[in-house]
Amino acid sequence: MKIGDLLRRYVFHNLALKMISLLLAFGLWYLVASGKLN
Amino acid sequence: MIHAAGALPRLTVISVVDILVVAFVIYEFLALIKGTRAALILVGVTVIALSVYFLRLEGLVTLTWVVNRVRPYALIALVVVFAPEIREALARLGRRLTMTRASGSESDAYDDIVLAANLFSQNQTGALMVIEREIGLRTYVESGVALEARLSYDLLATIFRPSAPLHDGAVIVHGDRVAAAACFLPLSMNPVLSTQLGTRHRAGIGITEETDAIAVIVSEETGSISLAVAGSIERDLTVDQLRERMGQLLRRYVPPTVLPTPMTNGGGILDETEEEMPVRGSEQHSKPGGPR
Repeated sequence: MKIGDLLRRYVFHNLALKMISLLLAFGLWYLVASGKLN
Repeated sequence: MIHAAGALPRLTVISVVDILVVAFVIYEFLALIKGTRAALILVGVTVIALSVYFLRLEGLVTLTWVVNRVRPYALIALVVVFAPEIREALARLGRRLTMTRASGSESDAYDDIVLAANLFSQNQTGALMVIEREIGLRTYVESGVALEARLSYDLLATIFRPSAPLHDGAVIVHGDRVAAAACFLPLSMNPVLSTQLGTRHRAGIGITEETDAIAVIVSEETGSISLAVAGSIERDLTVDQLRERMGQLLRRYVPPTVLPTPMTNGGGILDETEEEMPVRGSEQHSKPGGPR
């Protein structure tokens, strides 16, 4: 499999959803780590 | 280790791993419910949760009481509401861990597709069967008639019988089940494709351009069997070649087998001539059932 295909399949596919997931995970970590979410 | 400015907690390597793992879980869940009714439910739940969090219910004594009473049951309610998605996610995880592309029952089911293609080829019955792989075909499943029936040779023969109401369109196979029939698929607009290819073939190629699915197409005009993968088409395959190619694409062992002998036209259930398919819907999304 070419690198372009790999990137397209595993990186760029659903990229927006991956970004949203990362943001949500970061937000959750922030709330938990800072004690704002008991 | 990173010390971020302001009130940001300490970000260590472990924290980064923690965030990535949680992000992965969230992504898998969102990918699973994307485009389904569960996504709308999730939006509703999120709005309520955020409202409760930000309003803090200051002074709203009754509402605070209700929320406090309901909160312990919220998790159970969410599990109940998202039960099918959770089941699907666990099954997907199990499939990944065991590295299996096709289970025993799925392998048998794909043999049914090959046998059905053989029948359609002999009877010159047009057929289009799309097999889902990693990328979900829910959008296309919802465009057709949901079946969720166990895949079998007889079921396919019945669906594509020219007089059957569901013969006009594509069948979408998900695992060892027929998810839907009479589905609309996107037509390939590739100008390089032969002009001999009709709507059914273009639809079969179209779906493989947009997803990683594979499409088995039987020409109504010539009875030839084609296989579309990744936007390209392999035409005039023999049944053995189809079997072998499907085995390669679905990564499974294909034992040699003896295929049934051709049916006679006299008493066959599929010897009627299929009428030309009317192109329904938009120009891009058509129900593939046209001749060729």
